[in-house]
Amino acid sequence: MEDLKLQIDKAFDYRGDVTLTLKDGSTVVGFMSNREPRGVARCREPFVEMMIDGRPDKMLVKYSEISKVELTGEDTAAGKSWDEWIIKEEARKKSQVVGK
Amino acid sequence: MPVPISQAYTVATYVLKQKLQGRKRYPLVLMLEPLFRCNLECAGCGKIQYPEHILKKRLTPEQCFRAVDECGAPMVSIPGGEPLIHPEIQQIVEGLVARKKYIYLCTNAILLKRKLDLFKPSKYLTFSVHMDGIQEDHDHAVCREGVYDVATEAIREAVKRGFRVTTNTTLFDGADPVRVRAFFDEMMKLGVEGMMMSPGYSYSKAPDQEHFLPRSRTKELFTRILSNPKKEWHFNQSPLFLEYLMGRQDYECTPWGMPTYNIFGWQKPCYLLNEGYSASFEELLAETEWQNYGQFSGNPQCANCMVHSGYEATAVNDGFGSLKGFARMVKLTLLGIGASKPANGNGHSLHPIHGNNSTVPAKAQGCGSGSCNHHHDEEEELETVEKS
Repeated sequence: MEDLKLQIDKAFDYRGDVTLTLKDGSTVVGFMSNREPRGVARCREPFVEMMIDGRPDKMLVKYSEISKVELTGEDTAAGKSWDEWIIKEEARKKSQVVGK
Repeated sequence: MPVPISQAYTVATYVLKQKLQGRKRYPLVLMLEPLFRCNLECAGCGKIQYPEHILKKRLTPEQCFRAVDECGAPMVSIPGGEPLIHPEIQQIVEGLVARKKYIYLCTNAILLKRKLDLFKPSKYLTFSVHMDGIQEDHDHAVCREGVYDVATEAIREAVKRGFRVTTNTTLFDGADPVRVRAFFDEMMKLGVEGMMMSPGYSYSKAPDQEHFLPRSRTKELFTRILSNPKKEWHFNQSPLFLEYLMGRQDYECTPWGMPTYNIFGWQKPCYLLNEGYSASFEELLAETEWQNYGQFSGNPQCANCMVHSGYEATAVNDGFGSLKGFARMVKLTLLGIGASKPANGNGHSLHPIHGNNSTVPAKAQGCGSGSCNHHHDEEEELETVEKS
């Protein structure tokens, strides 16, 4: 269960789609918009909420239904840090100078 | 007057009403994010880093109105993403004006001039234009050349047409007080009603974690910027909050003061930390373990945060919620920020910057080291430039 919680935390912080494999063998692919490790009044069990492409509502999945979580979509934050931008920008300016 | 009297009156009576009703936690500003999509890709901002199907989603006007009604805050800030991209932004603004909410529509102003016809000037509507510094600094911060010029042109047009316009500025580690002061001069010359600013914030998903300001350097930076403010400068925010940024006032965070609502729900616990989303504002208030947040909570994520979304609400509550706070706020409003003595007495001498700093020395970049020697050198250099 601890391992699953860590997988879920990682998936919640991930800036791409994830795939949940459920204990019944089915899969859910989408963006994990929420995870509630303690549960709240509307669902007393720990749960995650998934936003699935083409579906207007969020899908609630209980921790107890999940067997595995994988980061399967593109990480939209990868390569987009400030420092990486600075390196790219300096390279662009250098190439402009060389071009002239 | 930096904030119109009608707006100050609305906020004051709202705060008093909450106090009389014995409400322990109440919101002051709803941060309504109707979409994440933006027409800029600033490297310091993680708001747009989502899969395409998430960026395509946006709140409908009805969802916005439900959130506003449920929350009840007298002011609504509309950040994003870029709200002017939202195809129904006109209906959203009209619906909020009809509800007599004071709206701050936060925009990078790239589309502002083109979309001004969608809106009518109103005391309830302010365009809060994101400006991060003088031309070079702003274009650098937003990772695109030419944006400063487009934004300033839009500001001029909006001011000319009678709209309320403010600027909002985020200052990161390494910000140069001299350049910031020069930037304030430029903004006031454009005719904006006032300026807003806040230290950079390390919300957990922002990619630019290294450049956020720790608490001591935040106080140092804002002291150097604001200790000797020019009378032409107007700030569209609580003077008590500005004093707090200068380290002259200590506050605890009010994370529920500026709650955030977006396509995911009500963000827990605040605009910066992202620990989950509640389905309703009531759930947010009831289910969040508020004692775990704020500078005195021991939560390391909160240790360096001095951001407006947590602390300006505290300052506003102080100003309108107690006679002592009200007196201090009036004094600062009349005499100007910097009228009080430093409260912390930490023995660290912070040198204010004087004079008209329209010329920026090349070497006077913020060192960010917190070392007095560096700052002394910087001031000597500045004095040399002023004399020349």
